[in-house]
Amino acid sequence: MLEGSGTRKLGGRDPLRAFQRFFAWLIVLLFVSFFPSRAHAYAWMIKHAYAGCPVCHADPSGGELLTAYGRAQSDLLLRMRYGKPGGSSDSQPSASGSSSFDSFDSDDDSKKSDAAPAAAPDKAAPAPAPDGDKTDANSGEDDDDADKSADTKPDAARPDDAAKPAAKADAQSAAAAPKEDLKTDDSGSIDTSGFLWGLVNTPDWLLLGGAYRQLAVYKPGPKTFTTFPMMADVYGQLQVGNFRVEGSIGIIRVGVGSPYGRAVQITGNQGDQWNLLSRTHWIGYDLADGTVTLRAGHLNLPFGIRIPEHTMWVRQITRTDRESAQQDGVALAFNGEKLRGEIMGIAGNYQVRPDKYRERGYSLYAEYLTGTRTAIGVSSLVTSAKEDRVSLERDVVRQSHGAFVRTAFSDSVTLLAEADGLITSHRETGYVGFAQLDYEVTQGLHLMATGEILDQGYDTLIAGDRVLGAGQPQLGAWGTVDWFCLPHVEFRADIFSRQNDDTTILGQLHVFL
Amino acid sequence: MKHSKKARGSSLVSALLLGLAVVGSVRSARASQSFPPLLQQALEKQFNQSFCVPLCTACHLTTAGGPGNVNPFGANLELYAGLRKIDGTTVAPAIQKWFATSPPAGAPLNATGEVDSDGDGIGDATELKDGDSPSVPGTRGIGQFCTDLKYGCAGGRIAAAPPRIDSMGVFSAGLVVVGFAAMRRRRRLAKRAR
Repeated sequence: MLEGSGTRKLGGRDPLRAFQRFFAWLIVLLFVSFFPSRAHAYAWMIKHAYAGCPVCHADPSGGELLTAYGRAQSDLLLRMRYGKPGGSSDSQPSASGSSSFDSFDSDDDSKKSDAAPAAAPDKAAPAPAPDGDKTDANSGEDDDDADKSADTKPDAARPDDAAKPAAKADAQSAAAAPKEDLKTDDSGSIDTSGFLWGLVNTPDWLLLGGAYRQLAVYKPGPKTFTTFPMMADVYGQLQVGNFRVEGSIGIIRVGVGSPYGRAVQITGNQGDQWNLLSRTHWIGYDLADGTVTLRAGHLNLPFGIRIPEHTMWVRQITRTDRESAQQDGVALAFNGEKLRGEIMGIAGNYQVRPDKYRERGYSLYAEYLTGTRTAIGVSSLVTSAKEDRVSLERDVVRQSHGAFVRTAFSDSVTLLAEADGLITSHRETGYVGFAQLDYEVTQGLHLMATGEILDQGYDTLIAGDRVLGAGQPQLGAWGTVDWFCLPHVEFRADIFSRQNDDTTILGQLHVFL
Repeated sequence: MKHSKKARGSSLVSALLLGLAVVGSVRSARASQSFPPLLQQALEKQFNQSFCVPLCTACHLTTAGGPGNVNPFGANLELYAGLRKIDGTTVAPAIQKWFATSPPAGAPLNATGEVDSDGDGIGDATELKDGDSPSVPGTRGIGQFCTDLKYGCAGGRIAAAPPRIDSMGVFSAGLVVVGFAAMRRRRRLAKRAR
């Protein structure tokens, strides 16, 4: 029998001790990560690593809209290549480019030859994923591409050394350089990495992008197969001098009470009708040659690793995903040579009402490059709300504090890991974490294995039994095949199983503009 | 890795087939978000009064919902009334059974013999009728079954009626096809110009 008050059971695991053990393992993991066997194999990764996210993304902490340089790199280093030795990693100009479907490659080859001549020696280097946002599936976007490309981008692809990787302004102007070169090479090939497969050439002061994701879900039960559009967004950025204005707009339809999509609605339909949404919209100003960016508006929360899987516990429970966890506020981002980070003062989500449901506080992360292809970071978040919009409990203070690591063990194997402690009102101390191993079989084809753990902490208000995930540790495992098969096209299949839940299979088509 | 022309063709065909498989075999619009409205209907029928469409927190610990994350009321419906996860057809029978004149054997009861999930002495039926969560004891549960939480910063609709989801699937497939067609056309034009 389940009863509410007065039935709190103290048996079983001690959550604090469990978290201590978990944290100890994280320390071990970090220690190992500090000494990757091939840490010094690619000197150019130093430049890449401290270049941070702004080189490829409009968002200084990564995600969403790609810069022209990011687009080029995504086409060059992310997607699968056909008909060329060495796959897409081959940055050598190719004489081929003849056959129809190869046209993509020929374009890219010419691109490489123009924009990244020195990339050849290191081209095969894997994506160490310094940014961590390999791909943001659900919040979607080109980040996938961008991030990976960013991670693997050859330093040669950078216009010159003067373009300090950390300097956003430089990075963006640098991005413009390859863009010009890439649009049409000597042989007349057309660059396919641009907006709408290169059909529209945007001026340097304007960035445009978009993403469509169709998700298919198979889960045992009476309604075993469903499919629905998970994301249909367009976004852009306008830059005038050091000022920038960015925004996204899209449509979504979710069920009543859905935890997804609702918090980014612009229109106010509360049922299962279609709604306009905007995940991010902000104005920003670049300082110190772009090393520092001050932004105000509706922003992604700076916290942890920006993985694309918004339903991964580590993003969902901390409410720091890019699907619909954005908040209004002011943020200051720093992208130095070895250190990068961002701190945001959270003023609440003004796409949620009434005011009692708005969370206020701060969120931050800082990441330090410890080696050529290893970075460690810490995150912290504290918010409070008069009434929590997820648990509906009152006077809730949420805290998440943790550490993360990103490292490349080899040219093709990357590890991402994060662990966070959870301190929430009306709950015992909890924790959440994940570790993801990414093996790139050949360029454009990734196999991923992910493990996750969650204990949100026993709910002392509702009480009742301790259950998996709330008073007891709950485990989950994911297996993923991610195929960047064509320019601007990604297919992804996931199978995941979580304790006390049915095994679920996901199939996803991602087309980005 | 070197791929032959045949392999390239196969890859293209595979990609397109996979795309069609994903977006073409559309059968339903959404994942199982059907429980809240089904619960609303079941409660209205049971108590003969209007109810809101509750949030997932009616039966779950958070609005994220999901199996294994149930609150005392949801857990009791599963344990004693036959509610099955994912199977929306069990919602109405479970409500009927839970609030039957003779409560299920073993169900938690208050002093007056009413089912009482949170053990606060007030029966689940009374709490639900008052908009009080049957899973949160005492006055803290008031207003947590039907909340005033609203989303969006503007009123109005963008669609008089929800478009068929199938059209979105076709749209995505079309987007891919148009993209490639345009890309290849540009390439042909470029070659011609050369």
